[in-house]
Amino acid sequence: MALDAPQPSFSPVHRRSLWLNLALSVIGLLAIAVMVNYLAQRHYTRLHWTGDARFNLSPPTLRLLESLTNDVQVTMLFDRGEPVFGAVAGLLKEYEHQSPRIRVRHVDYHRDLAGAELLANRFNLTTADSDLVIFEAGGRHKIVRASELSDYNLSELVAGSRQARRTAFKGEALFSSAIAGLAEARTPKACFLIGHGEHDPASDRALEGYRSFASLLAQKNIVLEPLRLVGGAGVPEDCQLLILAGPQNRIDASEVEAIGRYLQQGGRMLTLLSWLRLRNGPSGLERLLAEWGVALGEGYAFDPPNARAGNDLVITNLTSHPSVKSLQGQSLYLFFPRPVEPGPAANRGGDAPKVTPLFGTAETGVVTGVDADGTPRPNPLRDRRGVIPLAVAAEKGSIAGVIADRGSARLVVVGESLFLAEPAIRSDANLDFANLIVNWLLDRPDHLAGIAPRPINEYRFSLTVAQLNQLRWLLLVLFPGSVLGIGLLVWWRRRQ
Amino acid sequence: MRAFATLLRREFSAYFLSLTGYVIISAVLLLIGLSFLLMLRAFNNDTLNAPLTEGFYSVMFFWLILLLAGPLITMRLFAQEKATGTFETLMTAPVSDRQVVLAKYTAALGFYVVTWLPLLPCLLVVHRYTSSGAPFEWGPTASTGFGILLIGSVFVSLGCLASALTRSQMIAATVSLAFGVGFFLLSFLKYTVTSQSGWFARAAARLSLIEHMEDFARGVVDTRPVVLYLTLTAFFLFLTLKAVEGRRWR
Repeated sequence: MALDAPQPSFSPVHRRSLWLNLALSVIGLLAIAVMVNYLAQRHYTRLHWTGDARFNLSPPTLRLLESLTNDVQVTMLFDRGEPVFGAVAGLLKEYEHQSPRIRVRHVDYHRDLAGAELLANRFNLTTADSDLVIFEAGGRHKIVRASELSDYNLSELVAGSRQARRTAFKGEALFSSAIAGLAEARTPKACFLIGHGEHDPASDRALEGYRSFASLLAQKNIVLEPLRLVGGAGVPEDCQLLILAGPQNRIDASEVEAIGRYLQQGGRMLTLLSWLRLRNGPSGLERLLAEWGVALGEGYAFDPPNARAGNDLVITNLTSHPSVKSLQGQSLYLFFPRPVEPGPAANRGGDAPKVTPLFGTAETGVVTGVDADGTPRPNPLRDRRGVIPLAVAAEKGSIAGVIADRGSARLVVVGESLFLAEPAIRSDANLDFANLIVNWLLDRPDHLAGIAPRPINEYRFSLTVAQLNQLRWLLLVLFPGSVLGIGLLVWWRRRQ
Repeated sequence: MRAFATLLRREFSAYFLSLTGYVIISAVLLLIGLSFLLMLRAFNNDTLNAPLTEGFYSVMFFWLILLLAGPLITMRLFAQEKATGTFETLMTAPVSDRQVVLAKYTAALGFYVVTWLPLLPCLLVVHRYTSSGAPFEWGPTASTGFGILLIGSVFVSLGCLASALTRSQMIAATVSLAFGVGFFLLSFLKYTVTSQSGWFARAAARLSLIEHMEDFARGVVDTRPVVLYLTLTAFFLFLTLKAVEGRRWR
């Protein structure tokens, strides 16, 4: 054996034990790393470093996701180039991270034609049905289309711009409603009384259309159906909420009787009576409401220190009734509201209805009298002054001998209806009020409370050809070239 | 600690005393500039609903920098010293193996950060030209930088390991690049198992570099990838330490 041949430092046995030690320590560290990651997967936080927190989920959505008991498969049939794609994908990712019940997958109909075809066949989609999100659970499905996801500022379109500007993203409200709709065993039905010149739920005409209100109900998975009570027809048994929105004509006695029967059976009713629309005339409901402890006042209330433009009224005096408690500190915006307050039949104990004001004017409120033609005639001596109640909530438990299959009857009466029409419903907290009142009437306190659309930040830039050329020189030549020049200088100096 | 600081200074300054360091920074700057120009051309006169930086990670050059920078920066760390014979001198100096590995790793990571720093002046230049509506937000920009740092820390530690295993810089860079690209390609595994449920589909989704970067670019910092990258870095550094210690067993 050559004397200069390298001698091993360790005996074969020692070396084997070193390798075994290495293998064991690697396996041990790997096991620790896997365990740490396993724990990290179970207990994690997602921090949002964005100024507008556009991917934060609201508390109602978080509650909904926590309460899910069935798997929900979410399929995004979306082109990646669609402007809202990023917002939709980012938001749905948050849903997926928040609940193990939510599974999201993306099918790009440009790249995955077969996948898109399968979806089209399964959900009867047409060629026009592109860019949508499908929510599936328990054999049922709901579809949210990209066209529904944004609010637009149409004024720029009117002004000659090529496209309307996107102002808000409504993804969370629509996605959460779709999931809630799939999670709910049955869909509540609301009946919208028609035939007396009520507001139109399909229209978006100013101070007439109730489209946003109808959208709110749709978001809450409430099916809205028109209802005519002529000819002795009663309110359908499956109607969970009766809405009477700003009638312009008197309601017939037989119809009032049907409404009375409905309420006696534990019905729920939202009554919005506009002084302006009824032209100070009777609505026909006065007697029925009196029986339910609600008194409709004459004339209309105004409050000059709390008006923005004359006969409108900014209401900040909201009571602590459970339905509107969360709105305290916010304001409502009304027009010509008539007084509505607890009547003589209210709060007399026993079976008497319990009537509570919801909001009223400030101390500076005044109710003025009007002429026969509706012209206000202020009279400083006779006019009522002080806090004027303008809306009440009435509740009545089951009456002995009467089967109240819907539980206790609930009634909300507001002396105004224009405030929930377009575009006033978007003023102040009007939309939130509508949402909360519907929740209270349907006994859904934890239901998704009007998740507000998120404002969209727009990033617009317009570079001229000269500016692009300048940037090209800066970014491709000057910056890298100067670093390379410094490097060459260092290299040259070191050679010297 | 003093020995560590001395080693760190030696390793870090080595990048700036040779032409290689400047070539790397210059190449990264060129690729970042190219990425910005491509995006500006694509979205010029257009309205974006998200900051420009949110789409930065989806440009091919971004991943090219991320995948190439690690191997190029780390290939010389141990391999060059072994090839030139200075490794034994270093290991007989009064410094522990751990100090050597950590100093080399920290210097390489520091240089990796330096290579990405030109991103900030590039952003400011773009901001200067598009001042009518700032094309980026600082929050998502910071989280993007954090993501770049985390992913880079894994690739740099992987590069350290590859360099510690061989005396050829080329082999070190190739091995490191191969593993880096392999890790990157795991991102696409998610799309092949997307229709399946179970732990495999979930694991595939959790290993997706692209998905992690997507979150960081949106300004969302999830603790799960943070823990994943930190543990991977620690694991590769541990293996590097064992590879360095292994020379004594022969």
